[in-house]
Amino acid sequence: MTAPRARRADLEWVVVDDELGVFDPCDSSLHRANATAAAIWAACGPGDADHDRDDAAIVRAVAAATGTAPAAIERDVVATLEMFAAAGLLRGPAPAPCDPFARTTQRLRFVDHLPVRAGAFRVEVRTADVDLAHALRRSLAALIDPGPPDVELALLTPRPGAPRRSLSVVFVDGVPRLRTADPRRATRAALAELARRADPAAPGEVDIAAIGAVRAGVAAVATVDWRGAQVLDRHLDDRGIGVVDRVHLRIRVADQAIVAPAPLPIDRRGLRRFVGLRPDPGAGDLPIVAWLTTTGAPPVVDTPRLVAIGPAATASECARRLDEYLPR
Amino acid sequence: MTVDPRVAPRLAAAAPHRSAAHRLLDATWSVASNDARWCALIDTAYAACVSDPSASARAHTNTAFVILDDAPEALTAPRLRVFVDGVRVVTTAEPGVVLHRVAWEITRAAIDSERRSILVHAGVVARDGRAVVLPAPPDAGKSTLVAALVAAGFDYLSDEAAVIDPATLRCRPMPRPLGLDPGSWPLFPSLAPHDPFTAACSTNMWLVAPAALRAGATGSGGPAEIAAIVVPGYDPRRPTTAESLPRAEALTLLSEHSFDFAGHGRRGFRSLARLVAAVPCRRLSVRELDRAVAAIEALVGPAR
Repeated sequence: MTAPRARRADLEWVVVDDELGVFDPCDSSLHRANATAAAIWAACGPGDADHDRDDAAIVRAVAAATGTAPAAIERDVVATLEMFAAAGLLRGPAPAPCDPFARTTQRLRFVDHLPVRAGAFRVEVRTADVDLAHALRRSLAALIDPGPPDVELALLTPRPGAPRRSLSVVFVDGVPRLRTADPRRATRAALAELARRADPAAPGEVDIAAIGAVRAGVAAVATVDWRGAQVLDRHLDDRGIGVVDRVHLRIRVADQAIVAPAPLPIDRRGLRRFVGLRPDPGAGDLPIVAWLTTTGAPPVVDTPRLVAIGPAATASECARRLDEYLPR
Repeated sequence: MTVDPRVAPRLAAAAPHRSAAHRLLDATWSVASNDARWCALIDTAYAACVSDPSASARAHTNTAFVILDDAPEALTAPRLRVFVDGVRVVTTAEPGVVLHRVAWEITRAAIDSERRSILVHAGVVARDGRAVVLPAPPDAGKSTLVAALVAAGFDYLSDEAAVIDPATLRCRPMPRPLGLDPGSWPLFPSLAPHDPFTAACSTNMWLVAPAALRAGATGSGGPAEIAAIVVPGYDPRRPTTAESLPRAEALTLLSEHSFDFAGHGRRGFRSLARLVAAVPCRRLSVRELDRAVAAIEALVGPAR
């Protein structure tokens, strides 16, 4: 006998045209399932202990509702229940719903393996997060290319033991690029990394999401996201510091220099838009004198000065620190 | 948001020309510049959004845009600066960047101003008070399809957001100018900017007033009952076809394209679920615009 399964009582759900839509108020995610899954969902019970059913009971209930033999559907029913459980939709032996850590641990198994053609590589992106899986499938729809991967480039996985819901973007070289609880941000970081890796035309160069503060022919880089770049730009301007690119820089690793104009690494409009590549045709090669990390991502080159000022740093503080390292 | 009192007098002195006061959803705003052509361009593009022509712009504005051209007479590379409520947001030599950014900021201010409705990233047109909501991601051809529908006689509500009342499920107009990307320019040659200044500002996007597509294109200007949800997508490999869209998928798409689905919580979910259960939902693969227009006309019926 398996452990009882029941729907989480705090979920909102509807069945429209036999299909199921489930709203999870914990993270405002919406899950959709087909008519068969809707029947299984209905058989799961209302989420109180008195109505909990184990897998065998649910199989029997679905079989009775659909007029099929239990043995014929058992495998599919159990697989669907596993899918519900992986999505965190079932109340089970896990701790109470809406406990972020519990939600994370429920999702530790990978729910999606996404094969993507990115330039010269066929890359497999794995994720254990349902929201992220959906986001990736939408974002990378044009690049999906089934087949064995040339490179298992990126793993997107919850960080075990995290005190709150947290996602890590982990790459095969073992370097964690980003930890964030925001799936969209994780997706952007993953795509930026895909874009960087997929550019066969520029070995030794990388593209990163960052802002390049420029004065007297040298640059200091701050790894910031798009919103941070918008704010930081104004503070740099007030200090008389120029900006190479608000969002995306191309760095030549060997020379530790910002290279411009930056060619777009992937000839896929959707991906370019998503990662926000914005080449700046006006800039030249600029040696980097310092690197400020504000997102938790390590620098991609060895820089003379590495300064971690943390994600909570204000834009004014970041601008002040960049100002310190640039010659006058 | 109010302008920093230390900055306001300097900007006011530097930007003596003013646009009319405009209103989009619950946001009011105006544009000031030292170059009157910017104000005229904004007034033309946002003619459907004029708040109160008889009142001064200052009295009704809660967002103040200032565009300063440091060298308006220069032939090359003038320095353009854009301020939003006194804060500089852009410094550029490209007028196209300025127009794109100002239009984006206006849209953002409008979307931020509307707290009660569910806003879905979608084009919306209507016929006889019956609205068709066209939710789609960027680059799906929303604005292009909306432009074709308006030219064919539909009333224009928005090319950016369906503003849905969660109680009545009616759609409020958001008649900002249509933003046409370069890919759709060959389809609407008559909408090309006529004067050199507007052309110079339209390198990234044509900002098209609804009236340029058809006189009276904004119809009554009131809310419309939602009659259908159509998810468009440009696909040059397939003939134009409309096919049934599973309602649960429509629900998912609406939530994904909602600007603040999380903010509306259970109520928003219930409202959208009610909506998809009540109206036909279609997926429209678009290759030929005229056939796409005909498919949508067939969905809402002939004009009364």
